Amino acid sequence: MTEPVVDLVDDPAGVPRRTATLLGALLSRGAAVSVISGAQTLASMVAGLAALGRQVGGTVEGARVRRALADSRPGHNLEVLFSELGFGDLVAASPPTPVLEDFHNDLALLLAPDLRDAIAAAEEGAVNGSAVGPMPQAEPVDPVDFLVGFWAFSREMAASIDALVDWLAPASPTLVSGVGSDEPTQGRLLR
Amino acid sequence: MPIRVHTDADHPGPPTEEATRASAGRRLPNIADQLVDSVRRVLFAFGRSAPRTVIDGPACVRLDAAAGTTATTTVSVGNHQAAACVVIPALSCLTGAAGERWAPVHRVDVGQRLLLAGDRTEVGLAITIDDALPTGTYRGELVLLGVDGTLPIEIVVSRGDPS
Repeated sequence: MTEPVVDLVDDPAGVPRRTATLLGALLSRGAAVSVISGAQTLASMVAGLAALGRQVGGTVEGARVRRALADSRPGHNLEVLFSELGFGDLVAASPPTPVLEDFHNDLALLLAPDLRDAIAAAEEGAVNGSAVGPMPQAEPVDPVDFLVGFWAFSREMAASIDALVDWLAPASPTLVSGVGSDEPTQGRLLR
Repeated sequence: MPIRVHTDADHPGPPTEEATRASAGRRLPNIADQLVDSVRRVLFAFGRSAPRTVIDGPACVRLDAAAGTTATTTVSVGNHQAAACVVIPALSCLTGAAGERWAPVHRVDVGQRLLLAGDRTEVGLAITIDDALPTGTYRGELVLLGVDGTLPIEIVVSRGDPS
């Protein structure tokens, strides 16, 4: 059987993922955060994590996590917090931050070979946040989706940084000599 | 000695629990509305959508497997963008023709999680077909988190050869 081939490409309806546009997205985030309150920022991030949680909740592993949380005291208590404190209404009306996409874009920016050029262009006004695209729509939020999204995002963030480190410094057996080390050798365990 | 609390019209006592709740209930929606308006105005001005990645792939990956075996496939994933991207594959739950939901035991292996521009990697998928699983066609998808679109997967389960 022929191996299925999948290509990851730029969104034809959006802006391409290039260093300049990734930088533009980061600049727009920084600009927005500098003029809105912490509560607004938090609400949009929670909405974004919940959106991720809805997507992950459809996977085999995510469904198991979601089921466990939804039927638990933490899940019920989170619903109480969202509903009784009015936070759920604020989150549901807030545009979701694309948390995972932002993280991936920031990671790509760290690997960009032409970052300095892009920053120079930004300082000349050639890059700005308005080139990034339309705002995602707000939608109702299930608090459990937020927990699932938080779980997925945290896990993927750690795994992505692990992948970055593995790429930069592939794991291999190493032996570091202790001769000439500045490390202190006195103590109760190392004598 | 008992403590007496004096109240009068000019110096009302502490609000009751009901009054506090009612007052908070009146304030919260107003505050929330104002915050939401501010968020909408500011974020609309700056545009908060991130540059995105989409999938360009086959319409469906079809696997044939007998009950009691393991269905496997390998998907080649390439990065055709100018920037690096991350491959995070996950298998969705599968649905049978009668609407039954199947969450199979499975394994997803990624050769290379971080893809620089032009890089390509392989994603291995192994799905265990339970002995007791009714025969039929089950549909689901391979999800790549953080990427728009999915790769539809169709598994046709048959009864294993008794010999």
